Amino acid sequence: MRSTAWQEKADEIDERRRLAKLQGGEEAVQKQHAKGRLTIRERIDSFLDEQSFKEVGPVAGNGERADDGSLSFTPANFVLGIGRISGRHCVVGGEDFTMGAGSPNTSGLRKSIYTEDLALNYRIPLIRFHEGSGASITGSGGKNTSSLPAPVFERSRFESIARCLGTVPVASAAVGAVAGFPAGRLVSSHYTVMTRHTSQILTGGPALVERALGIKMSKEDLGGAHVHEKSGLIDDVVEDEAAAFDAIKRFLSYMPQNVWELTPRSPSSDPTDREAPELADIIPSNRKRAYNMRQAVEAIVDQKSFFEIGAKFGPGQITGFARFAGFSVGIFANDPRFNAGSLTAAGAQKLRRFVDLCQTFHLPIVTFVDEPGFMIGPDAERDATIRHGASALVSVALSTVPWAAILVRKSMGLANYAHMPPNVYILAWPSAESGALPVEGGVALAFRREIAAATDPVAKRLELEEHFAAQQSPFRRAEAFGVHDLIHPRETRGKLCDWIELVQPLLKQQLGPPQFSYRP
Amino acid sequence: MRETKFTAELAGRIVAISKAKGDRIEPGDEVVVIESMKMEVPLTAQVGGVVTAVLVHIDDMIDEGQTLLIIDT
Repeated sequence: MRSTAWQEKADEIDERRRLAKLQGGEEAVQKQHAKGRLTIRERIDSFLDEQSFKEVGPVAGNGERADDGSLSFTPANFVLGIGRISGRHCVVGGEDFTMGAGSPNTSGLRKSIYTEDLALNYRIPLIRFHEGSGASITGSGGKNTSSLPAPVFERSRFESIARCLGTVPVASAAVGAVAGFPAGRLVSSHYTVMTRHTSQILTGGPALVERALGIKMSKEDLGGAHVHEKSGLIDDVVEDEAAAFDAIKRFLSYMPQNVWELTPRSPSSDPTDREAPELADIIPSNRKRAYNMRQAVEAIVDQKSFFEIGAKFGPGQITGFARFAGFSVGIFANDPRFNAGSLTAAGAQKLRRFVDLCQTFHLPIVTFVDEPGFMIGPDAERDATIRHGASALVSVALSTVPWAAILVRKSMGLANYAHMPPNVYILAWPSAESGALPVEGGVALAFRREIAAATDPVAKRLELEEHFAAQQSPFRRAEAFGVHDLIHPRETRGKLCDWIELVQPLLKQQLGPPQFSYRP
Repeated sequence: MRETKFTAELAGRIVAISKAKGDRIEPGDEVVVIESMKMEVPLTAQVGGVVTAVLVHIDDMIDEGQTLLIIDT
């Protein structure tokens, strides 16, 4: 129905909506594609359930009427809204790189700032696709305007970013060059990914670095995937944007909508009493031989439900998520292939973030223990290993979510506390060894003189090692009621599926914001 | 036919080499054993093919990423 009173304005709404969708123009869009990158609107459409995107502020921008009456409209270069993934609501937002290289214009800045508020208001997960280097020195009005400095009452931009982390799951992807403020925001997430060939993450870009330090490096050399895969800045490098969307959706499938809800139970067709007979031979009888810990984990959790994060940082520690009977859990395990699975500074940092994440979103943690202790040696000391380690141990000790520990092999030293919070449910395998120190190191240290003085030092050392190895046998520990049970590995899944049902009411009683919030 | 490098995913000392030049490799086969922090870590093949060159010896200290074998896949 055409309205004579309001038709002109109604038409202008439609015109502005149409112009806003053009973003930076055809040429700018093509340039983006030529570099192997999608536009922000394409990313959002690709990521969300079909047709589910409800944009917020679609006609925010700058409109100007020419003398001939024609309207030109420059939209905000930040796109924001609410959509669904697998039917669950979420907030999505990101810079529009086709306009001003993502450096925010006035309305773009306002929408950008509002992103976290939107997630906090509706208490739904937040996903950010980052591409851009933040504010220009010229301010958001452009080179020809000067803006007033901010007043004393202006809200801190970082406050809402920080508060989100203790309220809703936040997942971010670097899908282009991300520097400055956007880089800080990118990593202020629970899960962060970057694309292998098309993204870089930098605190300061090449021009700033050259000016300040006299070093000339490309943005790829400074902050490309090869740097950050191992730096700990991100969780995972993904091959391309489609892989980024999949990884984020997979991560969110283990998370609830917010801290006041539990993760919905997934349907599961994997029988809870499935025995995995192959587990009997996964641990080699040769104590010095490494094995594939991930194979053990995958045999026990619901089939195909194991999702690892951060594999390349602190590789001696495995962190990720899985399900038992459809209930989501956090998984923590040692990888004996890297430094015998010992806890390094990097591994401890990864672990601390992981435990805090599980605590924030009320995920029980199942840990597969083959712990030889903290990493030692000159590099480890320079890395302040035990300080980072203590940070992780405190997080573990104060976590209130239920934990279950499967003693797979070693369970030694101070680092053992990384697996054993108060009230942990402990199941031991026949291959379990526990003690204060690995036998070899412990004997060499305590019996140095006796071994040196013996007629056959090698035989003496072996005799002592055998004696102490026997003391570390799991039967002794089981006799002393030092474990809840000593089991056949094939029984592990059944026991953990029983346990996961038992602890669900405890999780419900713990709902609400985390005591210590979440530090990225 | 393509030359593929088999590289070490971690650093350590070579304690065993399980394949020789001319051997056939299937995915999952043990190729070398590396010792790191007193642990023996078997490195297994990701692809199948025929070994055209073995570039390391027993007791060599190798770095993460170092090429150990060339495989014709």
